[in-house]
Amino acid sequence: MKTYISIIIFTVLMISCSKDSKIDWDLKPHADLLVVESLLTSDTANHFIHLTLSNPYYDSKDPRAVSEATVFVTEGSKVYSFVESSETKGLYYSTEKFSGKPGKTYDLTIKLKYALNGKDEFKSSAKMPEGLKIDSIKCEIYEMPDLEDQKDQKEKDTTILAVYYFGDEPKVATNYYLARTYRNSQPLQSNSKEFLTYESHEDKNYTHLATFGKNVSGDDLITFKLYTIDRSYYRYLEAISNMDQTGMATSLSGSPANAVGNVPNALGYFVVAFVSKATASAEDLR
Amino acid sequence: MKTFLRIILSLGLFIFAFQVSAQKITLSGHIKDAGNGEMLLGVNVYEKNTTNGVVSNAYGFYSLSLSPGKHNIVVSFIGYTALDTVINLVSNTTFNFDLNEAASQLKEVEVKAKRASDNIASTQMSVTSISSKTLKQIPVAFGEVDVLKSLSLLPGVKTSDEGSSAMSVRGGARDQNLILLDEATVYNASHLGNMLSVFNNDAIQNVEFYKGNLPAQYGGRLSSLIDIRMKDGNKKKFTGTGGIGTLSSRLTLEGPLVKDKGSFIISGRRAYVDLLTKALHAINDTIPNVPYYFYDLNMKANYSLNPKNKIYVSGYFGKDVYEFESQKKNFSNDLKWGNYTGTLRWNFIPSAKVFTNLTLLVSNYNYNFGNEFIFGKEKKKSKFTWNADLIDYSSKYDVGWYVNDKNLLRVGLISTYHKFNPGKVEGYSDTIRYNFKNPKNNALEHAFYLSNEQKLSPKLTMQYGIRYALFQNIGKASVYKLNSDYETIDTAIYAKNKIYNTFHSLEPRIGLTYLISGNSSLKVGYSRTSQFVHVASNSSTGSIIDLWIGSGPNIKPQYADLFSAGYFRNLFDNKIEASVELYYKNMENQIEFREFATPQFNPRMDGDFRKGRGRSYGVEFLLKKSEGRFTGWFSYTLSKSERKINGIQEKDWFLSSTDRRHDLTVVNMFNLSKRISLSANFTLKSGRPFTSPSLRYQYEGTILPYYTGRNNDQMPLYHRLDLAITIKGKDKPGKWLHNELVLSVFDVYNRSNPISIYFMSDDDNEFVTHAYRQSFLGLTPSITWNFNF
Repeated sequence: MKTYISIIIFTVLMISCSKDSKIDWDLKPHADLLVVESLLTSDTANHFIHLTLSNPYYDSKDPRAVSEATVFVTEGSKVYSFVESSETKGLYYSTEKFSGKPGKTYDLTIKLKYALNGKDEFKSSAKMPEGLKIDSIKCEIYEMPDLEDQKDQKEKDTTILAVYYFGDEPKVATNYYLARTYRNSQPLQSNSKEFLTYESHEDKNYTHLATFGKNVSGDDLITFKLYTIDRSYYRYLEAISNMDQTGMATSLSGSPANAVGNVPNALGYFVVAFVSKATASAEDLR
Repeated sequence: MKTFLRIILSLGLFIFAFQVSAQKITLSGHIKDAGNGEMLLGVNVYEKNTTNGVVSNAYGFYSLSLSPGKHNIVVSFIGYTALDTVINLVSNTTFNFDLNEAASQLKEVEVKAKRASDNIASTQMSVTSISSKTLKQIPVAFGEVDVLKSLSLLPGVKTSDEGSSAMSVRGGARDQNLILLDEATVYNASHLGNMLSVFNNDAIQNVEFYKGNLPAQYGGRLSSLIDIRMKDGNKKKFTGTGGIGTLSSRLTLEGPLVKDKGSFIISGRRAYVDLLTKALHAINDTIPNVPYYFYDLNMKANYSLNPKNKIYVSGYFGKDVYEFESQKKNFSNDLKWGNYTGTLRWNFIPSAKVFTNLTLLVSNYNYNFGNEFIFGKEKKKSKFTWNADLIDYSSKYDVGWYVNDKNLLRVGLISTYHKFNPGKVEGYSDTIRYNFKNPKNNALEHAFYLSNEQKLSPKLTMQYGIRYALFQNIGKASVYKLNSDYETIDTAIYAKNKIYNTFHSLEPRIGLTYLISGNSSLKVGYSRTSQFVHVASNSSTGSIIDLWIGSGPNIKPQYADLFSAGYFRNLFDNKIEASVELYYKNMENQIEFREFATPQFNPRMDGDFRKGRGRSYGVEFLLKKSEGRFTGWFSYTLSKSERKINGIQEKDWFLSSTDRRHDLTVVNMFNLSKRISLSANFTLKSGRPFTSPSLRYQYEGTILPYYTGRNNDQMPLYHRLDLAITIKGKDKPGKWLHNELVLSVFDVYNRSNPISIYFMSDDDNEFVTHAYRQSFLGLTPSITWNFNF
């Protein structure tokens, strides 16, 4: 669908004879903010919380890690502590393996060693939704049509990966999903802009289809991971996917705006999601 | 209580209209162009050296109440030689005037009897009338004469982007302008993705532009009215006009159906971007082949059954087309979008004091997109279609009653049936089928109005009126019920033809003019307007995939209150009109989409709307010269336009995207000789607001910006100079074909004003970001050859 909209935009741009030139443009400064990345799923695992700082917009340095913070997650009376990885500064893992439970609410607390903009404690809360459990998948490969708008892309996607997945959806009014695929255990989506997200309303079918414009071949083993997420995180990812490569809003998504997370006074998101996965060989139908 | 007071106040005023005056008789008739028999609207008919006069209506009709006896009647209209006639009235008299076009503008045309108070005494404020002749002289991009772009040169009018026809009038949104073509609403008035308006100047007779204080007979939009009237067609002889331009060519034919009784006009235009780029691509394959074109067709016919009855039928049909097929022919794309309108009118004059008009209308905007993709060894098919449209059926009855020499009463009724189809998507990929649609939304919109233009004293004139509007949603419909977090919690189903939701709006309109002297006046005005149909778009510039939707349980009607005041003065023996107008506009229920919502393919669109307030205020200065060798205007606007929308990230008031604090425009037209005329316009205005980031951060491998607020930054100063020269061919006696060459240059000194400033990562290092300005066109010369016979 987005490809289709891109074609329309492309058409208008081609007709409009626009031209672009590099300029010096001063931006309004702002104090650094804490950035939270996390993923707590229904898998039994050592879940992670990643803490970094924002940079001035033109700053080309890597994000700075936030070390020596106290991080823990509570669910009812249970407390899961997180400790900083000795290998990666700012990355905190739960000290024990545990699995999130659908319907349960998880509370995150982050206490910084040094206050940031006058704040040294950040809190967030998220509830794990009921999720779709995948029974099996079927993967097919087709040839990508030769679209004019891909001419300028550095690496052209030459195939379409169609993943049919089978499973019953939770019986709620609207389900929100995030799909990620792996080729021979390597992620096919390199960043959150490439994640496939969608919402499902009344259609509670057993058969579902997700398509990805990616280069895959018949020998590849495809793993498909489906996260059932809440509406708020879906909106967060929707915001990211509707920004262009530099995070600006695209012409069809209105005025530029922030992707609003669920950690007050900080950026990023405390994600709690139900996950289900399946693996199958891809069938080349080109 | 407020509504009750409005009714009492309005009805009370009308009582004054029926005060008995001394015995009068009526002089009435039509005013026509002597050359082609076209009815002339806006012509002054008045008794010399008095304030007793009227202006001909949209069909060239006038009615003047006078005492029995001899009267020196003057008929004057810009660009025409004034008539000065003595008429001896003994009873009600019908008198048609034929005006001759002023032979030459090389010398100041002597309009000896021109009433000083044309613009001074008029009760209507904030209105501009532009003829197709004036439009032709204003230089524009690609040499394409464009009514909307020309209107954007007037004070109080802003466009969001270079080359865009989408207008913001006095801080209003672009969907708040009512655009009428022969009374039919034109919903998407642009070709070429907003770069050209759909109106072919060869088919236009006149444009009336109200940027506020709408008369009571008009409503349905908050900000402005652009009332475009098509030519009737030449009643005297068969003629043709046409032109070959850089982007498009056009041809217009007109002539009598029955001499002096009826006439027709047919006018067509086609753009040839497809043919042009195909030819250039064949020479140089780096030039893209753009399979795009547009066309439009205007048609009109009229016939006088007798002096009291006249029939008009007119229509417009236009389309933009983009058809693409990949080289391997396994992918094709088909995009079509356009409008059509139809108007059927019956003028009936039951008495010398009463003019009536019955109108039947149809308006449509639609787009149909589709693609087809063949894939796999087995040649499986994937197909996608997306259709959306809006159609209005309206009937309208207007009565103008010239009660006496002090009152002109207008009353009317309009009913419209709206059918909104905001979009239906259907498709399949091999065996999997999908379809979804935005719920259809049908509605009835009615309005009744009553207004009076009353001379309270020789110095004081008042125009007051009331408009009552009613909007009803009717089934069959599915309406989502939303909770406070805009989530759908239930769906209400309504049966066919069931009225399930009603909105009312009572709209007082009032204007007061006080003549300070023969050449100066003070005017004040107030108007309330409502709007029940809206563009569901998050683009400030307009788009070919705009969706129009009606108000309903989840989308409240928009309202605006406009207060304005102005001082008007004519200088140098009425050669120059000067004015200064102040305004304040408050707008309620302004709708916006939440951040990152996409109106297209969104069956739950209702839950993505957010509403809030708007306010704008400003002062507009205008100096205008309409006669002589040198004509044009100078305008300056100082204004501010803001929005405050609930439920979006920005919690405070923010500048609207079309806000430009300072806006200066100079438009000059100069007749150098009988054959050569020059024109130039210069624009200087503040850069428009935009949103720029302050921070960046990384989330799951993606670099994201952080913004401190909406429209927190401002683009560079905008300025541009356009020039045009028109060279007419030599006219010799007996020559049947007349022609002219128009050479125009858009953006003469190649300023290339930015349409956006954006930020992009370096190709080699995504952490290194640069700012870029995107501009459009720059220096663009064009040439057009026009002819007529």
